[in-house]
Amino acid sequence: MVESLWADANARTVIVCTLLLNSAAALIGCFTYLQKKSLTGDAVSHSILPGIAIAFLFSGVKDLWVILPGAFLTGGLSLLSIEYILRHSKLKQDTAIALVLSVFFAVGVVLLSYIQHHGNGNQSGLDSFLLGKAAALLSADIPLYFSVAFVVVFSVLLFYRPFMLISFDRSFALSIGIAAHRWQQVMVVLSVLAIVIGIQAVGVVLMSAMLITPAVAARYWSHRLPVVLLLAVLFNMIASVMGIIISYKYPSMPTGPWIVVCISSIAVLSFFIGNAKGILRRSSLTVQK
Amino acid sequence: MQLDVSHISIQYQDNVVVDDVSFQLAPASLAAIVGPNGAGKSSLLKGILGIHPLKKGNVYFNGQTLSSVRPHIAYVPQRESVDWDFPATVLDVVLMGRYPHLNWWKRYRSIDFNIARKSLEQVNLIDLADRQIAQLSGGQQQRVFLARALAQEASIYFMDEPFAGVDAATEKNIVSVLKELQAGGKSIMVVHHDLQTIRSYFSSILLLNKKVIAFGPTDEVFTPERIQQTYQRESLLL
Amino acid sequence: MKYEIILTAILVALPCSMLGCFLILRKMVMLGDAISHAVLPGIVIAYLVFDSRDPWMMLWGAGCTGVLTTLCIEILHKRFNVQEDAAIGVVFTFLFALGVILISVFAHNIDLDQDCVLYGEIVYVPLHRMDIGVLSVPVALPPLILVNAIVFFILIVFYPYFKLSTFDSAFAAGVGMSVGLWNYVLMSLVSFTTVAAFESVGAILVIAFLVVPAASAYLWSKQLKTMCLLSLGFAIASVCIGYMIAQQWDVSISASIAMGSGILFGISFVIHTSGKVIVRNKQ
Repeated sequence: MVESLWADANARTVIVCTLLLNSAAALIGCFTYLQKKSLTGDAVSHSILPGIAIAFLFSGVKDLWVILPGAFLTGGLSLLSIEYILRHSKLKQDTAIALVLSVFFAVGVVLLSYIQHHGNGNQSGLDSFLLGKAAALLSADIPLYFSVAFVVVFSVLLFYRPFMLISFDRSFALSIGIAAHRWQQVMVVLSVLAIVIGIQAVGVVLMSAMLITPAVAARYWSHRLPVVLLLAVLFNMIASVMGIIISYKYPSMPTGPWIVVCISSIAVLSFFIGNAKGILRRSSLTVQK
Repeated sequence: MQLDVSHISIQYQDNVVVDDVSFQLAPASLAAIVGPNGAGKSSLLKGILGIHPLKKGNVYFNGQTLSSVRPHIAYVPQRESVDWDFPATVLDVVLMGRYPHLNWWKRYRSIDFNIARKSLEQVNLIDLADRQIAQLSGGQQQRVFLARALAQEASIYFMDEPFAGVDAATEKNIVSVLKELQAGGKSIMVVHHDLQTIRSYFSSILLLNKKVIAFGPTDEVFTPERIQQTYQRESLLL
Repeated sequence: MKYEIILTAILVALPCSMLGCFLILRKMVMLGDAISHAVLPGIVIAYLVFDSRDPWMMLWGAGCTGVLTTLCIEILHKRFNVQEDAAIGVVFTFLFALGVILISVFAHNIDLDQDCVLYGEIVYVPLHRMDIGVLSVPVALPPLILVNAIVFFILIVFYPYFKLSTFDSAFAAGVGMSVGLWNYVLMSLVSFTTVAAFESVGAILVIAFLVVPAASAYLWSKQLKTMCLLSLGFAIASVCIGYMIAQQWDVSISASIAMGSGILFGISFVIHTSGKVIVRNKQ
């Protein structure tokens, strides 16, 4: 079964690409989780939809080189809007996030339906961004996905220490001369990049699961940040492979939702048996005391 | 290290929290910043350290600006300001203090580990080096922060309420470390709340309520009238 | 036809915007978002277990999922020490993914598809009709009217309780009010409403109906009562604007309404902030 999957050249590309996309998401997701910004990722992923639609409307092609910049722009714009609303009104963070998320998403749906009703027949496949379609990854797009994911992974490893410092203790980081604001921006750009490339695999609605859930699960296994990062990537990879295998075996099954269900199951398992914070381990610890 | 603060003001949105504060801290002094809630004590520290921008005024360390002496300055934030559930061990946190001394590749060398361990010994936490920071008591967490500052090997230390909510043993340990630092020629500024202990802990004191009420040696400045003046500034203004 | 669509949209928007006011003030907006996603598997299961033509059972079945979601998030947060918003993110993505999978598994048994989940099918509301006495009304209307009645009845009758527990939950608990109970009442109202709205606007756009009119109202008002009334006004105005946009450019009606509420928020926000700037300049 697995051998035949690997023998299929198309499936192989899908697997390699999905693994890479989801590793990038897991890495940067750990930092958004540690900074208690789990749900801003959700806002970004929903806000990518209008960007994709606008890019398509203006160019008329589904070329990734056109669509990704569009997605990146509206994704980033959503974060700026949230920050602007928070700074200039009495609205609280959760309201601002939900507001920006839903309005951007609505604009995206409006544009998509416009394209559908007025399109030139070239538009089919655009809505695969909604719930993701890993199988629709084209081998022509692989180099671009690959390089973006590589940039994200490499940057997180390279900037690990400043990222860790500003996530743990921002004012200390400032006091030793780290430009926390600048690094924060770098981190935001990386997370938007990771989300933009990730939506092809799991879609805008479920993308935030690829960021948060592995981080939450990994935290239950270790108290060390490097280990947490490694485990998060590992968990996302396991879930991706499982999701792809399931949808390869039953072609009517959607890949993205299965990946999400798999990573959630790993998380639930971790809540109980994780050896750092898992609830079963914790109760045995208290007995020892 | 000599600290010169001249006419600094700090503003949060439309609120002036520190207003035209000036003082000079001599080398090897151990000073307390004392004042009521909302007097701008923490903000003053953050302003001096460049964490919060100054509305106006200047800060000099030995006559130099902050950016040129930054590796020689250590800061201990309030314990509540961080999430102690962060995945890090005690040693990880103390090693953060070595960051300013790392080369561009930012990798720890054995000397960094040695200094971090020595700092942990000073605060009696060396046995807990591999413990996750959430599993520490409040007093132990405070000492981890102190150890991180020690690992910075700075010439001047700023501490925001290091005695808040700690046990008696920790308080004793912190005081002895501070006095050691002072004896070694370092300057220390501490935001402090407990008026009972000021005389025994600190050699000089800054009474603050948005403006400087008084600054000088504890024996001269720490008088009942001055304290009353500090804590009742509101009624004086009316 | 046209008026039935508008009426349906208004019947969705009214209870949503009312509930949104309380969600915003309780800082529980994201929980509302989570519930609106998480009712999906409940709806699918209810579709399968009961006859798909029975909206009442669906309402109850899915309402339970909403409460279950709240419970799951609370357990993750309190018992397992997961940060609250991370707990929300984990739970709702899981349940939503589960719902999508159920839809593909049972695609032959139920007349639900992914499009309906994502945007709803308000255009088709007038097509499925039923007879009540001599009147012929869309099937979707009676449940919506019922939900409106329930939401407004409970919110108005127990208004003082909601107000107090929203404003100062510690004090409310101190005077012997069961804050947890009112919390769950509110959350079940949110899930009833999202389920009833599901057919018309889908599972994802509901959050726009919940939060955007209420947020616009929040900018303008200093009192809870004015905020509630204003948000009703914003809700109706959004429906009208959205419907016009949809007619003009032939686009999705539900998404246009959500976009319309976004436009109204944008206008409110600009007036609000420029007003503040003027005041600041005068000082």
